Amino acid sequence: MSTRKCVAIVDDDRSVLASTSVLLSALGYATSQHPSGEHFLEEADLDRIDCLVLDVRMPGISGLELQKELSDRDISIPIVFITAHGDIPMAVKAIRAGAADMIEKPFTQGELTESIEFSLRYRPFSGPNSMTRDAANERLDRLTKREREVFELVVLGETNKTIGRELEISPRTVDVHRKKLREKLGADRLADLIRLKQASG
Amino acid sequence: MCYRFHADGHGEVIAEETELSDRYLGLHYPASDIPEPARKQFLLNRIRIIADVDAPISQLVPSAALDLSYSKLRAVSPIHLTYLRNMGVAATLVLPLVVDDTLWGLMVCHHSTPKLLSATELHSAELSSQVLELLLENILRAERDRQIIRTQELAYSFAHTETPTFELQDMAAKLAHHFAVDALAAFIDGVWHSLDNWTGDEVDLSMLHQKTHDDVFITDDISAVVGQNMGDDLVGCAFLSLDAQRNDYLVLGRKRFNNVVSWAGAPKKAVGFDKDGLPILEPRASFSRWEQTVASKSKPFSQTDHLALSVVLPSLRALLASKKAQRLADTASLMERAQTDLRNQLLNTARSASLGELAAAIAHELNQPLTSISNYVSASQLLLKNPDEDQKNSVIELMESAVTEAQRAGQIVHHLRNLMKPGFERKLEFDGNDMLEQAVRLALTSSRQGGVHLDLHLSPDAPSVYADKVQIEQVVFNLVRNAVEAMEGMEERRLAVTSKITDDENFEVSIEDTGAGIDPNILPYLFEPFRTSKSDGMGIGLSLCRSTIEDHHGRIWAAEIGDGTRFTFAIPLGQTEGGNEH
Repeated sequence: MSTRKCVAIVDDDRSVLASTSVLLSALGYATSQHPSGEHFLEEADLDRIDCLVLDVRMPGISGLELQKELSDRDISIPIVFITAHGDIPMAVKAIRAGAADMIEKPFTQGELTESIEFSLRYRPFSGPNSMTRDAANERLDRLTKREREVFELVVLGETNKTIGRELEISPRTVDVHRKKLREKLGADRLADLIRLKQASG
Repeated sequence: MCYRFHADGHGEVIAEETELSDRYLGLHYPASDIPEPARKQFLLNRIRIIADVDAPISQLVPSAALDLSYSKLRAVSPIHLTYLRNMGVAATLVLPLVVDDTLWGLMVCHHSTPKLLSATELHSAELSSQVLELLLENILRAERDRQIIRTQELAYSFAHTETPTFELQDMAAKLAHHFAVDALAAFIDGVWHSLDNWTGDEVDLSMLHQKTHDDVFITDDISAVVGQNMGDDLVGCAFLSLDAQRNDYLVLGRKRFNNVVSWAGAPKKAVGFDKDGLPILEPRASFSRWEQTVASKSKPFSQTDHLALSVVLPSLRALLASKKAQRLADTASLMERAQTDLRNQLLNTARSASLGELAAAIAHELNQPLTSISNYVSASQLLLKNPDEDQKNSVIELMESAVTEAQRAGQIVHHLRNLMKPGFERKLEFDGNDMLEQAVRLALTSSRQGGVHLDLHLSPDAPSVYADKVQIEQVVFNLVRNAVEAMEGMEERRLAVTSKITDDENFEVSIEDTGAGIDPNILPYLFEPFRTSKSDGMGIGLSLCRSTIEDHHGRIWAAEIGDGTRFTFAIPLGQTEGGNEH
């Protein structure tokens, strides 16, 4: 048996599908390619797959629907969502529904591998990822009033520009707050921030 | 490093990656550093390699005249080799970046010891620069198109002025902000108007009417053109001819700008003479930073500014015409004509605004090829580091895929550009089913909701339609987006799109949704402008659809069906004349 981790990719764009698979093979992963959610449900060898890289927006079964279908069938493969610019609110839903991580198209090799490796370690219902309500709120209390305001908009998937407009500060200032609050909360990825928000009640 | 050429031919290092302490980033190099013959070579050959600057040059003894234009082994000028030695460089690889058929810049790789690259490495370098070129071209075009869209929105806001008693001053403030100028003045009906921040005296610039191109003239040094300044340190100028008789004009002024340029060495070649008295070109030995302040010019107006000014000009004219007409409103017909002008302007600019949305959807599509390119190039990088020779060979294949994807990105941008061409008639013959399928797909992927089930029933015979394809595409796009919005939050989301050729030779398209249906109170006014049931949007979508379809001598209607709505439009198939009044 091979020790290589197996990553399944679901994307309706053939070239994104093929090129992601080429890249992951070059990085030493085994891959399986699926042009649609339906194809994945019919063809994928679910026992072999360690991680699912899933496009959010597809005709037919959407990424979110496939996620729900898997969870209804009690299949817990960690999912990394790929989103396009402007799809972040959809990705926020996905994280709330238990996806491990999300990356935006076009992504770099580093972002892709980091996300996959993160998702392979990710356990939704145990360990450091699950957090009590009190623990989450204790962390959020470390933020200043302004940082908290920024946080609330960040976890909705808003951009610096929109947040800036909302709070009447410059996008650059928003970015400074964003970095600061990530540091204080010990959460590098947007996905972690969203989970923290969810745990806080 | 990446070296970019400026409009006057001199170059600047705009990106750099190096292990050496010598940094070139931000330094400017005079145009004469890369003479004209070398530039021509870069347009012909997409790669130039010097593996060892000290390698002996072999003489060729041809029996007839020999053209070495395309030879990659051709020796370079000894002056250039001295230049490289002075910089401490032993080997170079240069990949010219050609954008829109002009030399945009160079990717330059330096090595401090001689370095011979394998054929595979050279080939993949060449392919990488092709990918880079295509992406660059796309970025530059997208940037330009973005500015044009913004300008079209400005033009729309002018044409859409509710109060016909607008003030010149308001318009001037908007223009000054949009084009980042310091002052504005106008000369209308023999009267000089000092507008936004113009504190200097009146200047006669009427001679610039002759210098305009598309009724616009731009310069960053007005004294070089008219022999005098415009006062108040205004040295840059954009000039707009406001009427066909070439009397009225508008001037946008930019102030003097102190631009500090960091040259790599003093930009002068040391010139000596040989024993025959001919000049010896001697490249400079020092490349240390040498700063020069250029203070006679303003920040330049770009070609994009030029284009954008010509985009906004028609609505300025329409505005001024209507204002004039008001002033002289003793004849009713004049007033009427101005109003028709204004209405046409309004319609055209509304069309552009709605194009903006279609354009955004297409721009969104760019992410797919960009992702693929990034993947292929990253995979190639990994394989090149792999010592296995077989693996290296597959790099070529991957890079070719990357080029294909870059071309696909190019096509998307091309499509985008077609949408941006300002409003003259673009009727052509096309396959209606192809158009329909593409526009529906685009509208579905661009809408925020997934999971819409699509039933596509296309007519068995391909309908050959003669029409303005972009406009019909826009109608389909709007109708599908409306349908998807109407189904938001519904249990069943089913979209049926049907095309057929009717007995009376019409191309008929219907779009059916399982949405909330239409409020019967709104139904009679559905296609009137500024009626909307949506919370956002201007309510011009459907009225625009109707005017487009009617321009094509067709008709559009809506009907309630069991659970949802059906929109249908029909346009004559082989229409060859009439229609669109642009």
